[in-house]
Amino acid sequence: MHNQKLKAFLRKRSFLITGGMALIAILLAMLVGGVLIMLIGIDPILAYRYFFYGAFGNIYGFGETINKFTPLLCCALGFSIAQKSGFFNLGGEGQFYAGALCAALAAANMGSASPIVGIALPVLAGIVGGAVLSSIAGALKILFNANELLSTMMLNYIMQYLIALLVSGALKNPNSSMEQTVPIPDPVRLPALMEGSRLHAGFFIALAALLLVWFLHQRTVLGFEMRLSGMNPKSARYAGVNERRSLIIVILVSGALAGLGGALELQGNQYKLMSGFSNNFGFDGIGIAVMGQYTPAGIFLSTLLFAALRVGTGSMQRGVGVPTPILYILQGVIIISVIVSNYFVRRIKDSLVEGRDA
Amino acid sequence: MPVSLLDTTLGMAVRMSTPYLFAALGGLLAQRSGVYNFALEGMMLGGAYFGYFFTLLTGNLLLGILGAVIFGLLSGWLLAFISIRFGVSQMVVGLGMNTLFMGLTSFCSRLLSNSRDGSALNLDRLIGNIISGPAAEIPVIGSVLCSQNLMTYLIIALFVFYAWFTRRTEYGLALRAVGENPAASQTAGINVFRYRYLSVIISGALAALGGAYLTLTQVSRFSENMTNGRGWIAIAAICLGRWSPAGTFFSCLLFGLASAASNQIQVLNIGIPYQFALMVPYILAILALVSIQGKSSHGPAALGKPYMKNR
Repeated sequence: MHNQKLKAFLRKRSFLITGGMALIAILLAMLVGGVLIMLIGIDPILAYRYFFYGAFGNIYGFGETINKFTPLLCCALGFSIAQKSGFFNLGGEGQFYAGALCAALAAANMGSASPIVGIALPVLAGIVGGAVLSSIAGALKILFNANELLSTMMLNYIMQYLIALLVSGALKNPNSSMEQTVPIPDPVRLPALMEGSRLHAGFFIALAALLLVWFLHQRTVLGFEMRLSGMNPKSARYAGVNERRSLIIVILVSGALAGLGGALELQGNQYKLMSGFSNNFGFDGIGIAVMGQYTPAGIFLSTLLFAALRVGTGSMQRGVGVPTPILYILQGVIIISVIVSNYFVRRIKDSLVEGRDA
Repeated sequence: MPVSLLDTTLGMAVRMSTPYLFAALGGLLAQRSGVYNFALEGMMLGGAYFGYFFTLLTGNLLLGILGAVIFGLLSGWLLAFISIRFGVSQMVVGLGMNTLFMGLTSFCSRLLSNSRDGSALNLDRLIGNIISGPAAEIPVIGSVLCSQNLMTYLIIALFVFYAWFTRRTEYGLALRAVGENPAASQTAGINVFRYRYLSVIISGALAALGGAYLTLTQVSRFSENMTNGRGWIAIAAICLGRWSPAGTFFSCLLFGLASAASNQIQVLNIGIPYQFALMVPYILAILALVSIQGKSSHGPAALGKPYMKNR
């Protein structure tokens, strides 16, 4: 009797199952990380104390976590929206760079534009830049049926070398020995929001992007067509969906979102472009979308987690000397555990529907 | 082009295609059985690190190679276990493993460089060429065929073996059947899971060997993320080669040639920025993807589709 009630309860709230599994994945990653830290002779409790203090324990760290949240959310949304329409955009990293590059070029030429325009135009340039790069892979897919998974991945490398080329040549800051661009002028920077931290206004732009994507997907005809052609291309065609048009829009929006991330990171956080500017933001976006199960709430929470992982592992490095690449070990364990947990979630849900004992 | 330049470039092309050949054969084997190995990049990276690490530790190249192979087998088993047993997205599992191995190798490499000073990080002996003397002096043939090391000959032999195995043996035909139609194969009494597991596990070992080639024959030292997309290019080579061993082999040689050309542009200093030169293999990969459009071969029919036996 009690069991039946529980089943009915869980049937209505299946996010509890998914969320529970996600928690297990996080705990597993922290366990693996803890064992590794112990193996290299560092006290894991102390290390994790630094982790949490760094990511959440003080105003400055909190601001840093949110500042990582902003570009990560954009990249995750970009991957997610394309994935839902069946387009595997692994090119978030390159599109992020393209966005940052276009934003940097625009920002350097803003002159005496009014503050609003001075900030908005480079952001728009970044959006366009990301969309242009994803449209290359999109065009190759639509015209030549070229596998987008590989083409977007190749474009990542090409874009990284292009950035390396530009920051050491045409765009190099003449007054610096480092290979980087001239910092963008003050008026085009996104304003800081909170005393004692570097938190910048890009956070709200990223949140707005999340809401817009959700609205587009769930509340518009276009969004319905996108979802339908991802779920079932045949019935989409049967229902008269212009698949090609919907795919083109998805590809552009997907790249635009990653490009937005690049622009916000440039104008809010780093101010100058260099090799290693992105530091894997685009790839992290994929893991976030997977962990968030491609839902708005899930992506929001997973982005928060991945942002905290970045800041927290940095803090562990400074505090007790745990090498920062532990970040990717934790991420890898999380992604693999989440994807495995999907199998169990499906089985649990099946058993709930059929009314059998789990 | 003077003969000596052609000579060095072609010899270099074969050397640079060797890691592609290893990874691509691994990827091809897994795909033949119906499972995508998108973790090639991370497995190569792991092979590069552990091959280097165990050689540094023991001073013995064979033990280093053994270390890389063991890592490859384990990572192959992990990929097989997750993608075959649970039937989940093979792309996501691959990406997750790439992230994991990138973290693991960079993590270990930083610990290692913290514990020793810089000069103690180089291997003092690398896998050398086995043919020397007059044969190696013959123009072109000498540099292409003779100034190579054992690993290159090994992978050529493995390609020949693979071609014979998949076309002429009962086991090979069964392997192909599993990749085309697992349900029918199962009905015919073929153990689908055993074929898939073994293929993916061996695939991991081959990718790791490709990675080990980088540290044990070319640069004598590990650097973070040193595979730089070679695993992905290997997947592009499989597509370009239309899943045939000969096609994949020559595609890898083509990518090796592109990498060698990229190297020569940098060395010769002919006014092209080296970053442009570095893009060459990736641009070629995109062109390769475009060039195969509309052709009939699309790889094994059940590729990427999980097969779950009713348990």
